[in-house]
Amino acid sequence: MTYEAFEEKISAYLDDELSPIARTEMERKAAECEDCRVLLKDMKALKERLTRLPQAQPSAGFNFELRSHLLMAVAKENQMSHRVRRVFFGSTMRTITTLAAAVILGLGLTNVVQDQISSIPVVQATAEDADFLLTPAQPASAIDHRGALERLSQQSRRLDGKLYRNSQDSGRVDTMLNRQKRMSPWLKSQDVKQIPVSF
Amino acid sequence: MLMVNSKSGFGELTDAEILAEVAAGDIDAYGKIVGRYRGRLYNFVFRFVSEKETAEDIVQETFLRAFRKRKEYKAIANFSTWLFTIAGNLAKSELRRRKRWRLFSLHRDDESDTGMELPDETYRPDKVAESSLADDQIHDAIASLPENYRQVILLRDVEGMSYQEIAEIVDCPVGTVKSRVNRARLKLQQKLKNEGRDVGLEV
Repeated sequence: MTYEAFEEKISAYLDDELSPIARTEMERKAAECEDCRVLLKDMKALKERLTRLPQAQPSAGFNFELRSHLLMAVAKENQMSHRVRRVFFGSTMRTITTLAAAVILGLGLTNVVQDQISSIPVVQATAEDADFLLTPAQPASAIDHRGALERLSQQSRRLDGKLYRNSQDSGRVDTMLNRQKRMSPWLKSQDVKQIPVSF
Repeated sequence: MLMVNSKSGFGELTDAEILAEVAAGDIDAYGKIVGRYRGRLYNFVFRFVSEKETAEDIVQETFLRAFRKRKEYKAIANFSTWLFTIAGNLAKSELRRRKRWRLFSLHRDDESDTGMELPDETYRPDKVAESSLADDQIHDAIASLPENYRQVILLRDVEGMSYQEIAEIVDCPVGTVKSRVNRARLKLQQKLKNEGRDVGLEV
């Protein structure tokens, strides 16, 4: 074994990590080599001396300072989590959420209305209906929904107008009848025939 | 939500048990961890960076970083090793920062007379007064070792860690660590011998 090889294995020898054979070989080399023996002695002493080095201690204020740092870290974390909550559930976010909900609701309602319109049954126009339809009777497939609705509303307006005129006329008839009733005694006395009511 | 309450009587709880309390938000449980590792960590970092204030700052930062990661404790197999890894990395960063600053200062010193003056590391009366000369000389000899050797010799011979633990801390194979420790010891022994100092190496 060379001095260099001895040097390379010296820590393993001191740390008791060599096999018994390698250990014996090291001891034999130390016995026959002066430099190896000195090195082994110095290294043993150094290793032992290092374990006896006094342990340095931090200052008295170390714990207090560390504790304040820890508390600050905790406070910062809590503040961060609060900030995150505020961002996600703050007033701006609430407004945005409400608007989004309104838009979604609006779109949903539009779809429902469109579905209902499309589900209105299309009736085959008959000769009776022809009176009220703007266009002549057409096959059901040719009548589009919007046109049908338009026609229905016009029909409704026409009926309304008719009813209004009827009510006006009936009012007028009532007035005439009343006048006749009021005048009847006088007419009777004057021997005048009742005036027939007609349009 | 974290809470701050006082709790005593931990007894001989393991690191994992205390860390479970910490993960649940109990800062005072973390005090037990600090008490357990403060001395060893400080000793290691102080001997690594050779400056008391810097060492304190690094140890504080180590505990703070470990605390911030308290939600990940379950994934950490060996807490003490992890602490030493953080501290070691911070210490290395500090040494590199110093080296850059020193280079910058020297450069400025060359250019003009207004450059920063480097502190004289050879004469430190505060240190002489604080400890025995021999301890101080060994400390200085360790401080003069290359960074990688200094770290492993401190962990192995001063902190008494196993090669496996050191390998985890320095993130190297065990064989590399063993080789580094051997070289570090040889260099240190050579250094002390060359300087002719009687540091009590005689057994």
